[in-house]
Amino acid sequence: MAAEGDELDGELSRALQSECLGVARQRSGSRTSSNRSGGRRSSNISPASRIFRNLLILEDSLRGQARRQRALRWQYTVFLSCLAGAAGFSAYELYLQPGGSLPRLYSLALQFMLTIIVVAVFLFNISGQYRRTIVSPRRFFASTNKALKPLHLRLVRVPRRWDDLVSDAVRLLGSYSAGLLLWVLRGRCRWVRFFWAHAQPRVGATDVKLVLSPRAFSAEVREGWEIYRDEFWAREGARRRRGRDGAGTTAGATASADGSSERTKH
Amino acid sequence: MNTISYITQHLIYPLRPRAKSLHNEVKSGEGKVDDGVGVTENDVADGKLKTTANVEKQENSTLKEELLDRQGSDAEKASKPIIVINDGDILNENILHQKVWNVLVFVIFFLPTYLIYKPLLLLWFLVTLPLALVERGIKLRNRPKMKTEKVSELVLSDPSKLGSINEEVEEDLAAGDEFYLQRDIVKGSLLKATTNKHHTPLKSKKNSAQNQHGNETHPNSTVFGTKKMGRFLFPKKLIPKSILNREKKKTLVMDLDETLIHSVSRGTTHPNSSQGHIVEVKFSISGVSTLYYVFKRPYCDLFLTKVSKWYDIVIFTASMKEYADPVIDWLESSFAGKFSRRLYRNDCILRDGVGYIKDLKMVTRGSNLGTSPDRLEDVIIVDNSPVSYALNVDNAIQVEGWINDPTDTDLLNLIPLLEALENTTDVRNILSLKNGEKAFNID
Repeated sequence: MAAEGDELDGELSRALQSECLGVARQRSGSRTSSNRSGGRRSSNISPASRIFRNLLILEDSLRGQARRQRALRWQYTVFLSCLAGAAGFSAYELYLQPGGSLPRLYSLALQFMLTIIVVAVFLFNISGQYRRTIVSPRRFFASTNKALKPLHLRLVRVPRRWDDLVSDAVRLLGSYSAGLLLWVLRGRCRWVRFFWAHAQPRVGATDVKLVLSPRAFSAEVREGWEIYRDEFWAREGARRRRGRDGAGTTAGATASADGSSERTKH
Repeated sequence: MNTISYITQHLIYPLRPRAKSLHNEVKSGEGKVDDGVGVTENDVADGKLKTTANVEKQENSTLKEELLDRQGSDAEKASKPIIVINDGDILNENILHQKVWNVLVFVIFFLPTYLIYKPLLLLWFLVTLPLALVERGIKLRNRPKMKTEKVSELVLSDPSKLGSINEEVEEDLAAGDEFYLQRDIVKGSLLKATTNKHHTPLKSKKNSAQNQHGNETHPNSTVFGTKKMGRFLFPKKLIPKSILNREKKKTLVMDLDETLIHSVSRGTTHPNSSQGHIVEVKFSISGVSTLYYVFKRPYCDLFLTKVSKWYDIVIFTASMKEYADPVIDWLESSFAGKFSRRLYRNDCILRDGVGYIKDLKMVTRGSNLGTSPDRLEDVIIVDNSPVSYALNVDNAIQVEGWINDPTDTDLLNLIPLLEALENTTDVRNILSLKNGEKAFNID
């Protein structure tokens, strides 16, 4: 908090300085924004930048949530279908199988399994887990959009084109194989590391994105948001690549990523 | 098969007669003795008989016919040493040889192509296909950019447009990472413009002047923004460290009546009054005690449980302390967390003809318990009546008032939004979007 305050103070003094020198831009919008934000912020940064920046954070979080919900639903669908398969198999073996009687121990085990599964599914439904893991992830987009509607925002799925899918598959494959190779070589080969750094999954609005409602915002703002987002993620992707390329496979990869990227940036 | 027949006929066949003639020379010496004068009538007839017989035997083989024809013509012309085939066995053997030869040639020349060369080509194609596709995709995506860059160069020829930009560091918005959008007058849409400072000497002069004044500029900075929206600054990190490392959570101010709960006094009828929690309220002034049935809004517990992980929840109600306290106690018992503060009617501002207004300065001022004061940019108020948050519209999330609808999902719907707002630097930037374009201060 204190550091931030210092930063803000520094910023403020810089702004004053530049105002004295007469290079600061005076815009009608900036004054109102500074009033709104308590007058402490520098008036120099356009409200659009701040809004877009916060939209980025919002969008990233929503994207993470959407992914989490999808994974949750997928996991539990697989789990439940495994249970259903096992239950179906034991029911068939016990009651519908045309051949003669089963060995006693075997049929007992099957009966036990069937009972357990039925009880488990019943409890699963009763305890609200079914709702939590299957139903609500399915409604995630609809429900989130209801909350976002007053803000004139909408969360949409990005249709994935087939070349994106191929690229994703290649990236995944490349990243795994290069990671394995790096592990075998203990991160010695520069080219493998380069390949590894460049085979990272795509970042940004690849599957889920936030769009501004055309009814409330002009084309300029909406397009500005799209460009801002794409540009930010292009930079972020480059930054991460550089970080990975420079840092290697050591544990402190992420920690040193920032430093190295900053060094290479300027 | 055309190629095969071509090769066997024209490349391999010419070798055959020589071998054959040698063979014949050895076998039938008498013909040679005649010094190549001619062929006896018998011989010719014999040879012809043989050929017809052979033709009958294997009609299908065109190659053989040709061979025999040639032999026949040779024999008739008699210009060359006699070539007479006396033996059917020899001919059969020849044909067999030829067949074997054909197969061999086929194996040598063509099987490698189909077995090795072509599959290798296919494999190579399969391996390089994704790369080629990616390359193609990148090319396709870059195409519009290249166009715009051309346009932007035109735009940039006027240095005065971008010359006025000076760079300033907001807390996390990185200097130099900027973005400037130019309006395309013809289309009315935006084009990405990149600046290169070495383009215009005038501009670089300005920059150097700015550098002297302590404003950092970067030689290759890309500036984006619009005239209306100003320049775009890019954060160095998506979520700044100051947010990630902060100790204090953001504050969520919740309303009580019609937002989290609904209560009715005992006399009135309610469809499912038996399920309601009974709260006894004693007003200290009048000494009268009243019973209230209190109903939770659907998903209230889930909402409070989830949200208390991300926010400090403050209850700010416009109702009396005597009534609110037992209700809040009851709510507090139904989830793991605690409300960090409670504010009542006497903390509201009463405006005549309007009603009770909740001023968020009451929240940010900090409680008497010694908690650090909040900043207004970290406070969200959730309320059902616009009057309540009239002083802090930009901090508010409006929900529908709830009375008794059992299928209401408003609280559930809010959870993703609140989770996403947790890490924003200023909630007002997002929540002010409900005003539409005014949030951008355009026009």
